[in-house]
Amino acid sequence: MSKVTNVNSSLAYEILLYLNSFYLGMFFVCEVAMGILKAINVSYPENALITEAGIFSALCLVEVIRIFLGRRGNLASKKVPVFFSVVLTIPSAVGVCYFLIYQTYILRLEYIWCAVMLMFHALELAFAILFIVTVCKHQQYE
Amino acid sequence: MKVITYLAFTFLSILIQFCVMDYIQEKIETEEPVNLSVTTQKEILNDLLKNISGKPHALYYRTISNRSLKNASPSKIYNNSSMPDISTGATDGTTTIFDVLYDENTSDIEVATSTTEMYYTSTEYDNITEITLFETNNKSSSVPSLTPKTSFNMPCDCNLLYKVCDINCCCDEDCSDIHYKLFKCQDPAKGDRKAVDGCVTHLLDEQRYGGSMLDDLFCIVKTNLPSTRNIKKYGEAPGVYYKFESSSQKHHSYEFKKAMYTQGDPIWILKNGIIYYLDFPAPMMNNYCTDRVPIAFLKEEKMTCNVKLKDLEMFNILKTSEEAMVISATNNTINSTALNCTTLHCVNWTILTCENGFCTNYNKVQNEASCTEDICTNIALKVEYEFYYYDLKITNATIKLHVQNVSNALPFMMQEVRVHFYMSNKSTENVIELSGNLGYINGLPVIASYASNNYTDHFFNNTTEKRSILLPENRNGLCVRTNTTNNFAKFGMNKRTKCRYIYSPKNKSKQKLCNNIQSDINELLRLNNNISVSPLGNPQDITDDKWLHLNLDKHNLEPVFGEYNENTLKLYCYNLINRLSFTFMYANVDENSYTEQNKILSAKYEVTTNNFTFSGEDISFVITIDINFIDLSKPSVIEYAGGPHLNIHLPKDFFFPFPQNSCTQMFNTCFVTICCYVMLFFCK
Repeated sequence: MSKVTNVNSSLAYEILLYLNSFYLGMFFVCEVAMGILKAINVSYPENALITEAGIFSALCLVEVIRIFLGRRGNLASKKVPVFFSVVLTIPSAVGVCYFLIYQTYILRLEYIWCAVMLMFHALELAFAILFIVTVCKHQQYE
Repeated sequence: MKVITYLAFTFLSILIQFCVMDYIQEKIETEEPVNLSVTTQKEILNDLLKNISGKPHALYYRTISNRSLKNASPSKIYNNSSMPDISTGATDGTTTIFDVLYDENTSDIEVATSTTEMYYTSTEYDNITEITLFETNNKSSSVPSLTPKTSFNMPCDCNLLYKVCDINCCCDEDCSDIHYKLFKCQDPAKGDRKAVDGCVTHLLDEQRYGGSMLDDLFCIVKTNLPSTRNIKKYGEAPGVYYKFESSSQKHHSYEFKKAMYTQGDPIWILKNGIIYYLDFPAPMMNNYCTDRVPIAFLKEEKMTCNVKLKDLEMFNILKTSEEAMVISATNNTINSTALNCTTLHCVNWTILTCENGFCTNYNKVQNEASCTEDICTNIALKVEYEFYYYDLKITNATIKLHVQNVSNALPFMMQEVRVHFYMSNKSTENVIELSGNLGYINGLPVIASYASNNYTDHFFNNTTEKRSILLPENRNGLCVRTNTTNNFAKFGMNKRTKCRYIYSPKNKSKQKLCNNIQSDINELLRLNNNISVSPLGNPQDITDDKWLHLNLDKHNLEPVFGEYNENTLKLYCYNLINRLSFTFMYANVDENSYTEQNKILSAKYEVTTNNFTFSGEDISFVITIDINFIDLSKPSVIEYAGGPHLNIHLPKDFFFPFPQNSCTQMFNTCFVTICCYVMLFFCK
């Protein structure tokens, strides 16, 4: 009896995660550069810059873990890492929303790249859920 | 799959309905024509009720909007403005005020206690006073501020001098580019950046990247800065303690730089070949004139402080004016080494002595201050400096000494020093001053015309015409009518003037004496004139029918009659006018403007009569004049906006596109049921 292996990894989800990993790199570099530019040109209230830097570091860390778990789960057709990736989407989206709405100085450029990041989150969330559903549906019992 | 698509469509349509709700609601409101005549409480209430009843369903959300006059743009308001009838609310308001003020049992003090601010502007003589009641707290000053004012796409509300450049008014068309540069105005073409491109500031260099796409992307569109407070921080090092303000820190060293005047420069004077700056007394720690501060170019000043008689500023001024001249640097000054009147523009002082509003040239012999044991005459407790700047130099420097008699016994007296600047070469006496642009500004005179027609033309053309509502003055408790009075109705300032009227009979005849008294009172109160009031602070383009007319309906008054009793030597006069009231109802028609834009909606003029008994030759009684301003501006109301009416005609079978009478009905129903089950399964 030949062993049938189902490939459940979603191509769209994989593409999104792949693109997002590059986008995260760009986001990180640009946001750091923008932070430096802002710190030079405008004055921040006490501790605001440190707070924002801390939130940004945390956001990047969460994003890296999220994308890693997402890709790993997707390629290995495991729902648990993807589930955690979905869970991590929440703090990640909150972090992006902070930079979109609540940071001290919001630039028009930041509006654009934060909005793109949120779009990635939304799409990845949708595909991740779809992936989990698919994996649950095609559960293989050997 | 079709059903899921339709369900998605349904969901989307609901979403769209919510999303476009705001936009459509806004659009509907702006398209409605604004009619100023619809301003009465009743109509607004009806409108509100109509909106509430018109709600189609329960999907309401709160929007804050002003349903009063405030929503419309000023131009819209003024063009379509029409004088509304006095609303029921307004009449009630008038009646209430009128009742309070005219209630014989209501004493002045009782009225005063119900007010927030009240002051006596003159000493009380036999209960004859001048009281300012219910003074508006948010008074706008007509004095130009140091900050340049701009009002883009709006009437220029800082332009208050007709055909004369107003200081620090960047939208005044009477000013030239030189003036704008002097006032440090922003380039009007650029306008307010925030207003133009929605940016608070730009991160990139504006000169290098200004206007480019990069500049647009690097603009800060929003800031979340915490609210700031100015806290003076003192060092935490030991031994640091709070100090009294030192006068030595305030004294800057000013140096004449041979340059033309710029804003904030001290006014320079040339005295015996040496250049000094001009200063005036000011209080340093308390109310006493213990300090002197320089008069800064284009900075209006008003300073009051207490001083001894011998230290009055008028003596200092008279001495200075004899010895010094006001100078202005010219193009020749920069290169020259010698500083005298050949290289500088020198101006001699013009000194005017003013008494009861009438000014004449100062004559040392006639107008010199002198004192007897009890009283000092020709003492100027109020001094005004007026500088006229024209063609890049000070062309005229005038000092106005407002003289009066003061008691010699007073150890200290309060003196007032004012500094004015005018960007004109002609005297201010001929400059027409507006009371707002377009609407009235609090504290400025109510514009009135005593002409029979062409009120606007008379206002702008006839320089001798009186432009405000003149009232008799209270001088030592007595009513005095003068043409140079300073007692005129000021917008927003409720005032009661009480003064004693004394009739001086021209002949000894007792016949028609009461009628003669009444005629004299009419003359005093200017009741014989028809007064027309401008609804706006700038009466330009206001036609005669838009002016508000104050007419006294003499036919409704009880006829004046009286009798003289020879036995008791008493004169009985009936129905003599002893009270006069002006009631102005106004509304702030544009609260978004830089200054208030008040419009007088109606003006009323009422008199009350009383019966009097005069003994002997003493024919006198107290006359009361009231000026009341009633604000009819409506406060902002919270309105519940109804959901928008989307005019979308969907096909009948949009939500269930399966034929009702077909044979496949059962099949379709089954299909929908299965779909529901599948969805539920996925949810689980």
